[in-house]
Amino acid sequence: MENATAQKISQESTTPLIEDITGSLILRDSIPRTDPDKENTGYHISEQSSGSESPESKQIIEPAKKPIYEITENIDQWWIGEVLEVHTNEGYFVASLRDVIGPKVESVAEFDIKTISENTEEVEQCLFPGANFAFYVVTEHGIGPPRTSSGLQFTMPYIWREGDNEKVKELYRDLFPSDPPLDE
Amino acid sequence: MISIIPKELLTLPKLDELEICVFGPGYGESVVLYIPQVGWGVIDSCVARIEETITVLPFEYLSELLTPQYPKLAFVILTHPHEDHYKGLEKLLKDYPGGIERVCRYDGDGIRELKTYISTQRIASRDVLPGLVEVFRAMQTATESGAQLRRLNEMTIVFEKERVEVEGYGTTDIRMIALSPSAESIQKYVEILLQAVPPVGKPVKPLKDKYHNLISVALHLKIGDLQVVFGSDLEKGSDCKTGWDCVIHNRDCPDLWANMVKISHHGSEGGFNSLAWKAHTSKGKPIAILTPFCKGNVILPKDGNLENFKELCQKVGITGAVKFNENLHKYYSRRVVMSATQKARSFKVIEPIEKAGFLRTRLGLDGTIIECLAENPAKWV
Repeated sequence: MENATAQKISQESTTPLIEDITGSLILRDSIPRTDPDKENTGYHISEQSSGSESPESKQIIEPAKKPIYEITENIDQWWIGEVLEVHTNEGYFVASLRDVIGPKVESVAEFDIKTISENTEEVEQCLFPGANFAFYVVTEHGIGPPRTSSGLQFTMPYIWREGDNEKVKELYRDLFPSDPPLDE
Repeated sequence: MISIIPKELLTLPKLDELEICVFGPGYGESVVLYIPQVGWGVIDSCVARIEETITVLPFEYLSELLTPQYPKLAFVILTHPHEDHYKGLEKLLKDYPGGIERVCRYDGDGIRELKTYISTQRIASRDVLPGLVEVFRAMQTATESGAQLRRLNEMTIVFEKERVEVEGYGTTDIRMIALSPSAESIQKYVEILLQAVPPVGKPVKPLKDKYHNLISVALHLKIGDLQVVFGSDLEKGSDCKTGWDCVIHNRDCPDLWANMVKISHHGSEGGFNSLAWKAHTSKGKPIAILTPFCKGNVILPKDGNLENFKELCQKVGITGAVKFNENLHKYYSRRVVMSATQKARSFKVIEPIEKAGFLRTRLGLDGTIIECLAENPAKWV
């Protein structure tokens, strides 16, 4: 027998679906019967010849485990920005940009405040002189033609917490070990 | 290593010549001096990025000029904690082969609060004043190696020598003093730093850059018949309590006439005090040097201010120029340019410099101008 697939048949099972040796579920009735003259060992071997189109040969097709396409994203350019001026009335801010990848030049750019977020509360919290942000250009490859997009990502400012004053004292000791500690 | 001095300029000043060499590549300022009977010294430090190499300009200048004999530096001064005035200073302090006699910085009280401010910002994951911690550590190491630490505020002495014999000139007193910061400026600065630590539940934000100018050290040098004023980033001030206003009204302030002035605060209107300039020009028009500054849309000096200085001085030198390039395709791919310019309403690249350049002046102690040269892109305007 070529390309034989062994199947175990549960003799006591009454369910119409049974599991073959590969773990796939198949209909009991779909299993070709063995030669009645041969002892039923509980395994049914289905005969498959390579390229067989015979309706008697039952082929179990497993669902595909991997998609046939992948979406990947390439970073084309990445800058670290620092806000220099905020012109709230005019609706824009000025920032210096430093290349993280690429030609390593410095640039100056102006952005509309709206590009950060439509949420004014969020903008008020994260937009101030000295605030840092990432400005990026990425291209997505997948189904269809590549799609390039850009964005700004600000981080919310750190909120001072209980216990941070103690952390400052510890960090001061680490940064400036020759100085008298801040407690004094 | 990038060489910054052309071969024909690799000459040392004579023993009776005062040399002042100013660097300012567009962001940053540094002055290297030779003072007869005192030696070489440096005021502030800056770097230039040339062909992917970052060069600490005062260190490179001294290394090229003084090799192989490296005399001890008489002084290294940090006038205030702005990155464009301290960048690279730690390399000079650590790696200059000859050693340093005096390490000087702006006064004491504000330092502790400034260090606390830096620590506070780091808890908030913000590296404000990048590199300054390394400069402080290098100063500490220099003092442990024998340098004297001097804290400078109004009317404190950097060095002083009386009745010194200078060959070719005669006998003279030599003195460099700090004209600022005033006690009120220091107090104001400390209060501002303390306010930078927020109460619990409030956001941590960095200080505005301009506040660090409050404690800027302006310097006055007197030797022979010469007087030179180094303005650092000292601003015009107000109420006779801060800035140049306080300097001029200080009862102990020396006569501020000058043969040469390193113009304050990159020639800005904020650094210009008319009374101070009245004093500087009281015995004749000085030579003036300024360093440009560029951050964002702030570009100094403005044309109008430059014209003003040209009227007040016999000669004005500018150490460099900042150039912008709006042709982004020179630096980025078409895809990046298209996408970035859709997001930004304007976008321009600060052109990298090809050469650092400097302005070098050598003066005889009797006031004679011996050399007044501009190494490209520096120029006399």
